[in-house]
Amino acid sequence: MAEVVFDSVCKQYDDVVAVDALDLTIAPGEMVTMLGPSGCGKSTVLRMLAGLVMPDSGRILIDGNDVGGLTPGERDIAMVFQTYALYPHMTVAQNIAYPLRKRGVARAERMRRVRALAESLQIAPLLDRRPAQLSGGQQQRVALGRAMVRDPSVFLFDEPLSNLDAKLRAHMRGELIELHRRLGRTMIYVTHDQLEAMTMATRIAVMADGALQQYGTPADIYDRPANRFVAGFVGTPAMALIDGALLFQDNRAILGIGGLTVDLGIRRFRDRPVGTWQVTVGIRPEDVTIGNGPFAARISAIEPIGHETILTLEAGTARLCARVAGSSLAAVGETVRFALRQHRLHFFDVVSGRRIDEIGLAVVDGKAM
Amino acid sequence: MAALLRLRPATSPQALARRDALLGLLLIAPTVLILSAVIAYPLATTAYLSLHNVYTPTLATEWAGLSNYRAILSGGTFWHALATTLVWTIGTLALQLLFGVAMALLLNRNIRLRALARSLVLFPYFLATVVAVLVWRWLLNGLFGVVDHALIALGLIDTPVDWLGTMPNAMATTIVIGAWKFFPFVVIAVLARLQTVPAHLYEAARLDGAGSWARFTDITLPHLSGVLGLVALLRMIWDFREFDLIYLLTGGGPLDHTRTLPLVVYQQAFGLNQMGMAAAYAVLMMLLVLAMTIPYLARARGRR
Ligand SMILES: Nc1ncnc2c1ncn2[C@@H]1O[C@H](COP(=O)(O)OP(=O)(O)OP(=O)(O)O)[C@@H](O)[C@H]1O
Ligand SMILES: [Mg+2]
Repeated sequence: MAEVVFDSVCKQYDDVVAVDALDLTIAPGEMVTMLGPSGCGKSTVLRMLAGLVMPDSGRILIDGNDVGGLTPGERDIAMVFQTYALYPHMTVAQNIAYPLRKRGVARAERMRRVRALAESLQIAPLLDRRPAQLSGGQQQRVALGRAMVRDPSVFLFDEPLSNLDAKLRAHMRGELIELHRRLGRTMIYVTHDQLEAMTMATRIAVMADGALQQYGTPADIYDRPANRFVAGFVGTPAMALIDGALLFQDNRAILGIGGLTVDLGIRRFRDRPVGTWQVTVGIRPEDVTIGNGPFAARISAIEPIGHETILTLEAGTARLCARVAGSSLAAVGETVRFALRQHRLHFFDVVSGRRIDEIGLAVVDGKAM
Repeated sequence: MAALLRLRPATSPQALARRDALLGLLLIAPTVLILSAVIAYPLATTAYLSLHNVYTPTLATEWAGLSNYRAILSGGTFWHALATTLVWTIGTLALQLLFGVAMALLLNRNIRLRALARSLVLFPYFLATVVAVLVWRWLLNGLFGVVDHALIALGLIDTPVDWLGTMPNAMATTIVIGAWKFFPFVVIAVLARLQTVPAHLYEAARLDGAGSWARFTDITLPHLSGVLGLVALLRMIWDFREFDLIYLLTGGGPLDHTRTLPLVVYQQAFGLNQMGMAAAYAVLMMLLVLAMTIPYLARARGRR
């Protein structure tokens, strides 16, 4: 188990800032997923930790030791690539044994460990084949075996499942979670897939434009997004983000968005300015209840998914989504009434995009649930 | 063509296959005809000539049976020339492969001015042999050659070296200049292959603890083995038959120490005016070249 620390790490390629002053401390044994749009610097972070790319500035520490001067081979890190990167001219057994061979482990011991690992990964019958003779899922396992064989203190995964079909992917996801539980090693996992990020992680790091946006548990990220970017990026369908204004009368907050007026009741916000507050309101689809309620909206789109249906609503100038269980009998163009779960609304400062914290939110939220 | 493709609709798979076969034959026919004209005809002519005594100036021909071959195989010239040819071929080929791979590895790295360096490397290959040889003879000249001057200035030699007039200098010089002239071919082929090796393999190997030599032997070389085999075969055939470079550089001398088989063929045909003998030599050379390709063809067949 190892603690991994990024201390104001920067990396620039020509004129692209790939990673911008990253500060991140990953506790020993975490399974961290890195989530973010394409090109936001996730792979670069991983590759800097692995030693494949050198940071321009800043330090990277593993268990308190600066690894800046160590080669990738000396860092006690293993990585699984999206393309698996198996050595095509070697057999499966040779592939898995390769890290041991390069570390001078005796042949008999190598064979013993490869065999044991092959058993546990269920690839024992494939040991004499070459990578080209394996399916994608089998190659994935071999790559995993090669990473596990020398028992590294940190595992890195760069979109390891994205070349697999949906079913195999779900299966491998389960296996990786199990692997993490069994080995207890620190793991960092880059993915585009939100489901992967939410289900596998003990902590999620959300990145955008080379900068860390939020680092927290999946529940944190989902329920208390730190800024407008995280709010809009995590969750499908995305949270509706609507600009509006908060007005305060005594301690009652009145929200005006897109022609709707919502009386939020007594609310106490941190750093509340005097007068009207320009905010962005975030509304998750599951926090919109259809049927009856104080508001009316026109249905502009219906997406049946099977177990639920996503309705797109237009209320005044505001557009938002709602989740309805099962299939919906509503039709496009129809007008429906809806309500909002007022204590589940998210507020962000219009200018900075940062989350506006509510005092005593947890208690209120607890009662509301 | 269009009419052919519009043939009546085929009903059975056999008919369809027949139609495809017919079309296939028609499509390869031009190639077959041209190949016959430029390969089969000269080949047949050479074989025919090799069985006759032919006086080159008049091409007067008389039947000789296998006597040309008998004379060649029982005399010393052929065997000596064959040994010389093998020394030249193996020597220059080894150097070409060594320089070629090393240069390709260098050019595959992110060095500055890479594009410029890549085109400069091709220069010897595109230079006309006559020009290249003239330049080299000039560089190696004992009176005013740059090479001798530089070596003397560096204190490596005291007096100018006779690069082309004595043995083993003449053979060594020829081999090195041959390598200089033809190694770009190896560079091009190897570089093209190097660029297709996935970068992730090298990264994985670095994480697995492989140093730069291990990465070369465990990843680069296995990827290159195919192209190196092919390049070595092609270059071996071409070096084996190389004529102009050696002829212009040493003329086969000193004495006959660099007289390879192609030079013997030329000497027989135009020096001694024995076209029949020359043809017999040529046929023997062709058989030797064919023998060289057998291992490669066998391997290609095995792979399929
Ligand atoms: N070797 C390189 N040379 C130049 N620019 C690079 C290089 N590697 C990455 N970049 C740039 O750095 C930025 C971050 O790249 P990175 O690969 O880390 O993104 P990513 O988050 O992994 O994206 P993806 O999800 O598409 O894999 C991108 O803008 C990319 O174009
Ligand atoms: Mg990436």
